[in-house]
Amino acid sequence: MAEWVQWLAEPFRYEFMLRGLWASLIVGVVCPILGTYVVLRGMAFLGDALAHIILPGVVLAFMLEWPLPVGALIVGTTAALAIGAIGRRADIKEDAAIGVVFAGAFALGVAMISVQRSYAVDLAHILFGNLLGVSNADIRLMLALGVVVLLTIFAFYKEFLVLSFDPVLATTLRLPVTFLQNLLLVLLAIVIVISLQAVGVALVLAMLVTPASAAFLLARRLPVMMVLSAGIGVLSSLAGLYLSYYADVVSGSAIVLVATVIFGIVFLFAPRNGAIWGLWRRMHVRR
Amino acid sequence: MTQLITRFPSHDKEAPALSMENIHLAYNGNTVLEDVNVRIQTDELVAVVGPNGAGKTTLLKIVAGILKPDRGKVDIFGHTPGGHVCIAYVPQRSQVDWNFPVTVAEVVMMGRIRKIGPFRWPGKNDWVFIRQALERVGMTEYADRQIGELSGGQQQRVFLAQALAQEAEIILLDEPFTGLDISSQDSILAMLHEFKGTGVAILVSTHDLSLANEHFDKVILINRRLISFGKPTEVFIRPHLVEAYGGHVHDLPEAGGTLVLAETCCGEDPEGKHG
Amino acid sequence: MSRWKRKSLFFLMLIVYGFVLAGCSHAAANQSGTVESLVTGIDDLSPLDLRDEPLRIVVTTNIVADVVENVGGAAIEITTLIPPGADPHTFQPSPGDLRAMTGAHAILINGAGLEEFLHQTLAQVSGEVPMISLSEGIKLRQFQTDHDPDSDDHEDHAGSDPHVWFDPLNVMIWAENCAQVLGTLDVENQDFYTANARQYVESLTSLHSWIENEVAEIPEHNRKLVTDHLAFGYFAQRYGFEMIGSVIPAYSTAAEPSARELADLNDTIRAENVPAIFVGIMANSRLTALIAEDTGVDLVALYTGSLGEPGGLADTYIRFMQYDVNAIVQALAE
Repeated sequence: MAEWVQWLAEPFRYEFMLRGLWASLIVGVVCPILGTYVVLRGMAFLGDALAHIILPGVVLAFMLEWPLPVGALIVGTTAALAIGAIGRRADIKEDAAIGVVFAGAFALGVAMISVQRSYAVDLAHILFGNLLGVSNADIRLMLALGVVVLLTIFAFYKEFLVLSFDPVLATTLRLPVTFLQNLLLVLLAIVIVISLQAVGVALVLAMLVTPASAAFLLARRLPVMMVLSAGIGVLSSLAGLYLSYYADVVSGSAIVLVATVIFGIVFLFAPRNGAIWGLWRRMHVRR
Repeated sequence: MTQLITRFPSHDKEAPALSMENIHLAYNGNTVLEDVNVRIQTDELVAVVGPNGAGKTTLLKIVAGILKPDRGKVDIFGHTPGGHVCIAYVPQRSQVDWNFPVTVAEVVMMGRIRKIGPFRWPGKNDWVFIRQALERVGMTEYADRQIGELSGGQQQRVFLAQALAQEAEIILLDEPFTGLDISSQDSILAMLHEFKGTGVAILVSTHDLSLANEHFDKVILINRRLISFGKPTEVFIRPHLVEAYGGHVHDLPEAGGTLVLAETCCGEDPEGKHG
Repeated sequence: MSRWKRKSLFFLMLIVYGFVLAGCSHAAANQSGTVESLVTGIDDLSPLDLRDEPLRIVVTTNIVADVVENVGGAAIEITTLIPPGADPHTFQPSPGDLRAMTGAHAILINGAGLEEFLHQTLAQVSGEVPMISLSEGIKLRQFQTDHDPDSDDHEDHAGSDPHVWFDPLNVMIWAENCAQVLGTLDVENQDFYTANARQYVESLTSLHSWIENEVAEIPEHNRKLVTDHLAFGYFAQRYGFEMIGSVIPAYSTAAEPSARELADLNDTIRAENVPAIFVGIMANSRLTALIAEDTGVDLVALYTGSLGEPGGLADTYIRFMQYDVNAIVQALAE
């Protein structure tokens, strides 16, 4: 009995693993909760775009010797608001416009890095996270930002609910739709900045979308969906960390792997919505 | 511009519930609606009829304040629609995301969002309204069901309850009868008649001319422009119908007169896709 | 439901894409393929007809540049690819660099696997311009680990240690190779190059003795090096140190340590009671700084893959070594 307790406790004898745990737990809670809105409103592409657009902001911060999250936050929120403005113009195809900005910004970031000539390793960190290199100051910042995000969601819960369910209804009910949409985009930018360290730009989309998608298949009500999302996120973070320690897998990818496996299981076996039950029901009907 | 805290304009008691003057709206260079002039009072049940693409949804959305006309004036109780929270717009059922993880009670609660106000949760009072609204539409036992689990008629009633919870004085329904069986249609109609008497003006868009003819106080007949507005007997005359439906009008002689039949088609209103 | 099934599948694809990228991150850091196959042996060189033009040499690192300068003097023109402060393990050349290379008479590289990441660039050029490895003839150290060599392989490097310059005796071989190369290509100035090389080797000999004396001040039990990546193998071998661990257990800064490797390093540092960890000055030292903090040891910056800025403390190879040895002795002597 004591042996597997020891097996569970062993990685966390080391401070860097504990710090990684804190960071990944924060990400595992905040990302999926905001991710419920991303999933329900079809903002996945937008989220991925924002994450990549942040790259030049991070490089700029590095070149100016500012803390990296500051550069990321500034560029992220600016880009978020700009994307919101683009989206509200009825004539431009929104996803193409976002694609243009996405690719352009990312290329700019890579070009800036190549001018630097000696930044190549850190590009990998920005793309895939550097969970083991997270410092206590980083964790404090992540926690502060995470609390801000969660409090905002709590404060505007019913407004975001209406906005996500039906934007037309939000207009009829005279909610400040533009403000709320922008607020949601800014929250998204903040969450991406929080996740940079843990899973990096390339995989933050996964933390936004995968646990929430799994929760969607299981929940009938939004609060339940959020709690389930966060639960799956936390589970993925924990299991991912153990995986990275005992199987030598890069931590960010390990966490995403676990989340995806969980999604796969839910996809197949969820009561009512699971693919396996659908198949089973169809077979029974034929008889 | 809507803000977080809005003063709801006080209703002008003398003014009609809804007044539209010379409304004109174009989209992408095409005129979608023009020459719309109507006046509607409280306690009136009005049908909006016309062929597909006539602008029925557009008209309703202009009244709701979702769309703004290029020209003309819309008055709700003497003031512009924006800022009024007393208008409820019930969308076509095809436009609703039935997979959204929300229950019947929560959808009804959405109607009260401005009454609850920002940064607050629904109070006891609000729940009273919500329960009453559910009772009046007969959906009390379904309060905790996810909305995708309901039948067409039940779905319609949920949104009616939402309008009631909103304490709306103008209720707009976009094709509520499409796809419903006769008994569901009848129960919705009965409810609308009930609400009509409580100080509410109701506009309903529909394809079904005989329904409009039999159950409504007034009819607005449009085909991109207002063709006729008034009592059903005034509106549903042959020249108006020909103007509205073009070649889809047939004369059938019968004892005691001529039966005029108009093919009004059915199915999805293409206007619902944009606007 | 089918609409959501489709969306879910889409998400799955996105995640797969993420993994592919993650896999690529490691692959990208390690270009395998050997530069050695592009190199011309020193004995295979033939003289050039220079027609009063100075010999144009392109070199990769500035450490190589310093040595070549000492041998070639005013008779040659040197262009260095990797600027001071840049990390040779991850340096990416620009189109301007390629132009310089094609216009040169010869390219002198560190060799020993340091320039593997430059393989593709060098391959484009080596057909037209002879490329010579200064480390030809040096006995290379091989990658050793007490883990199973087949598991936790994060890098595809041919397992040899490229940091040959940390042993002054190797640099003497560089100087001699260089004199031979320059002398073969530019026969007129052959004696000039040979004389310069001999002089430089003498300075290197003094350097070597000096280091031996300095290092003697470090007690036996402190002759342990913990570094950010395995750069000091040749130094350790020559002067009796033990490389007991590194943050990135590889010869290149482009690799990533796993959680387990970091854990082992923490344990090693604590167990061996080392006073300090050494990190490359231009390296990304964040991770190393955190480890130093966690284990309570000092963090000492050393020059590793590149000389310092001109006019600074480490702008020649000899000053570079002096700086590092002083720092090491200061940290480890009691």
